[in-house]
Amino acid sequence: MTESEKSKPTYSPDELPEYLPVYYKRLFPYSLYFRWLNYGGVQKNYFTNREFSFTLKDDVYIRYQSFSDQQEMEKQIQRQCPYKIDIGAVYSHKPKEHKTVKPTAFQALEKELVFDIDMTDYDDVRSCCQGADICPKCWPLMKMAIKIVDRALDEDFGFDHRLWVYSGRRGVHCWIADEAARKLSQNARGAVAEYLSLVKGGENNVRKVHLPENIHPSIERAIGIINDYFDDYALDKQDILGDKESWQKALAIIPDDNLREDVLKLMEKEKNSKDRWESFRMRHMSLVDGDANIRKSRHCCKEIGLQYCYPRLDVNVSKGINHLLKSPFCVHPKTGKVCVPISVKDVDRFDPFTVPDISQLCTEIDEYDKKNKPEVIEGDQPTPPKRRMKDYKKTSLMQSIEVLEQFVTGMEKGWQEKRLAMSDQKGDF
Amino acid sequence: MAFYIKPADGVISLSNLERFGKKRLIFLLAILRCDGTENFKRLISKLETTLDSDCLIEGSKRDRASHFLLRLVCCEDVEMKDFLLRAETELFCYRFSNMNTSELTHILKSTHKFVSSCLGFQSCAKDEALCDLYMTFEMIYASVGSWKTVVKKYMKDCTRETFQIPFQLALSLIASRQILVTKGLAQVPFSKLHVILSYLFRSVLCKGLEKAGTISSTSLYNEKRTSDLLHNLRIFCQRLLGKTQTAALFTGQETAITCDEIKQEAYLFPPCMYYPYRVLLQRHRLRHHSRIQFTLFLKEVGLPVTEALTFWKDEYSLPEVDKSGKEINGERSWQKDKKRYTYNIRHLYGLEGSRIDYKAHSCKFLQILLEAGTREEASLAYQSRKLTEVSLLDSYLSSMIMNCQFATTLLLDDIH
Repeated sequence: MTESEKSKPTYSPDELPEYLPVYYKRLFPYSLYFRWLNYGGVQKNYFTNREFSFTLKDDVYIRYQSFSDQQEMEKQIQRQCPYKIDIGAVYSHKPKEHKTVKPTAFQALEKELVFDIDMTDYDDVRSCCQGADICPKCWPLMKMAIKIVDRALDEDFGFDHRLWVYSGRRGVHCWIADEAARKLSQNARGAVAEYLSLVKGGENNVRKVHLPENIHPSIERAIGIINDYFDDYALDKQDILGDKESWQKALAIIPDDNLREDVLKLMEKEKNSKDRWESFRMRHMSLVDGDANIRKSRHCCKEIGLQYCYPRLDVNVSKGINHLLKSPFCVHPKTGKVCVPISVKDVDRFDPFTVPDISQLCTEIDEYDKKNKPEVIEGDQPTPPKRRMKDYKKTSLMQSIEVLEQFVTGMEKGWQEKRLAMSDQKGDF
Repeated sequence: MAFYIKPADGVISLSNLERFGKKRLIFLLAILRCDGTENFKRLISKLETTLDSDCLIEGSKRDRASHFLLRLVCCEDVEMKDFLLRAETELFCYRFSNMNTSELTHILKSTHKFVSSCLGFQSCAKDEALCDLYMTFEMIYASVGSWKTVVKKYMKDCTRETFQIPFQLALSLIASRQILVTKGLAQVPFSKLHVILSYLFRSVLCKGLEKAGTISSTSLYNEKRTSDLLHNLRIFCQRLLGKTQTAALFTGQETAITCDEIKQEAYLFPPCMYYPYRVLLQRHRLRHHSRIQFTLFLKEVGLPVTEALTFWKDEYSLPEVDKSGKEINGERSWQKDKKRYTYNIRHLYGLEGSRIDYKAHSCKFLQILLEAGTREEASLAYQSRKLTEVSLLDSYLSSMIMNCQFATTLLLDDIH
């Protein structure tokens, strides 16, 4: 065993009570977190009216938590050491006082637009894993999903402030913090989610993607992104045409019986997924232009690619203004991994399997401190302690916190301008 | 005018007002049952010869009076509100589609002018729906510079030329990816003008209903004549809509059912509910949304909350079984999550949380719901032409007929 393997701790959920207090005392980025959710103080009470929910040990779930400032939030989190923290909406009143308000008066007013993409939704097209498991063979699905959804949110909807977060186990979340996004109605959120939904149908549906004759530019763009990954992900890693069972499953999507029969016969003639796919593509191209009967199958090559790779998001998570979603930088209780932000620019390099878990992080702090203890020479005045370095910089969490930093600073200029405009209006300087 | 922004001024007799209100309600219900513009035209021509139909002439004072009256009548009940929204929006769409070029140009021009002047008043400036209406009109007008041109392009069914509006005002077109959207601005072809305007109409009415809800608790109710008027019209409306109370309110023996009876009566369930029931019996678990819908269905057929808790406990206490019939160590069970499931079921019965009396959803809603979720149990409410669905229906029907002699007797009775 190498030196690093020997010292690498393995996480178990029983360790949470031991490590969480350390994590919340030394690593959780309270200052950045508060800077984000306070939104520059542009709207009064925005932070104090925000709902948080805590899940404590033994599955005790407390809703309608709220804090008056960063200090109170820090104190509460450190005191209760929640196993999970969810972020909810900004309400009309302080959530912790909601019982003193008439039910009809207590309303959820605003919230970031959010998306949740979960690997379990792809179970019918993953051959390597099922359920809560993920592996390097299926992780590319998340890379494609992030790229496709992010570009649509940016180019089509004009949302500038997008934070992607690894959920700690089997998926990713996206938080969109633009002012226009936070003010969206339930219907508008649903519509954006619908715009991004293409794979439809339950367990009993074989063909889940139906493209119209004219393909919408956003779908064409997505197909382009999928093509960059298709050979490696679908034909190599997932081997979707690798054996009879797999190719029958994939080609069952072809609507036209004759074309399907035709292509099935071609499969035996080739030796691997890549060649089989090429063979299928060529046959499809040569037939489709001529035969009016297979109009239904005109896009079946693209449809198969999309069914295996296009993002599958949970519309219900995005729709609700008061929906609670797991907070970035909380710890996933089952894996111990921190829900770290993902930089979209570097999404291809992001590796969920090397995301640190809290036992690892706590060990990293200890090791750093041990190595960097200031020397004490006998007889001399003790050297004044240098300005204490933030603990996260001693750990592998540093890069993730920088992603959050960029996200927040990206918005701060806009907040400053707003504050200036408001104080100009009010006349108080 | 067509958007009903301002109520009518004037004096009207109470009895006339009540008559017009009832007339409009009947008419609106007929509109919802109308299928297509041909039937609408027939409906209109029938009315021209009947009494009091002048309250339905577009733009007349009586038309406006009866519309605003119905806002007050329907604003407090969820079902009536929904009815009014759907029916008035349908009416708007039919009227819109029956106008010629000059009528349409006139309507758009005058509405644009009127809304611009309205926004000078503070109460209107705060009304989000009116602001959206104003902004949309400004942007549509700005795209070509004249309403006459706008209408000409719309009438010509112009798909290539577009106007830009914020995507939030073109949601149905966005959701179905029928149009382009760039940096938050939807590029709407002129041919879809009616979609945008009907959406605006609906949001103005929605906002108006909200406002009506706040008014009705004041002076209107202290005045006996108006409170009687509203009361009478409400009863009339409820009767028209055939409202019945849900089973949750029933305490009587005759209408409640027990969990044992469910097993005996399940064959009478509609296919869309029978299928999840069978899945539950086999696997002892259902996906989240299927479970919610099935719980609501059982509530509506008369299962009281105590029986419901027993029903779900019985199933969820058993070990979970997967598709192939093997017992698996699932994550969800009654033992582990008893508190959560109990709270959830009680919540659906209106006994916890916001105390809403949830209704079971319609077929249309279920179809949409199940399309969106790839993992939910497919139900036969799902419209489909696929071979797998047909074979599913086929096996369902044959199993029904085999298991159910009652059904066979029914069929035979039918033949005789």
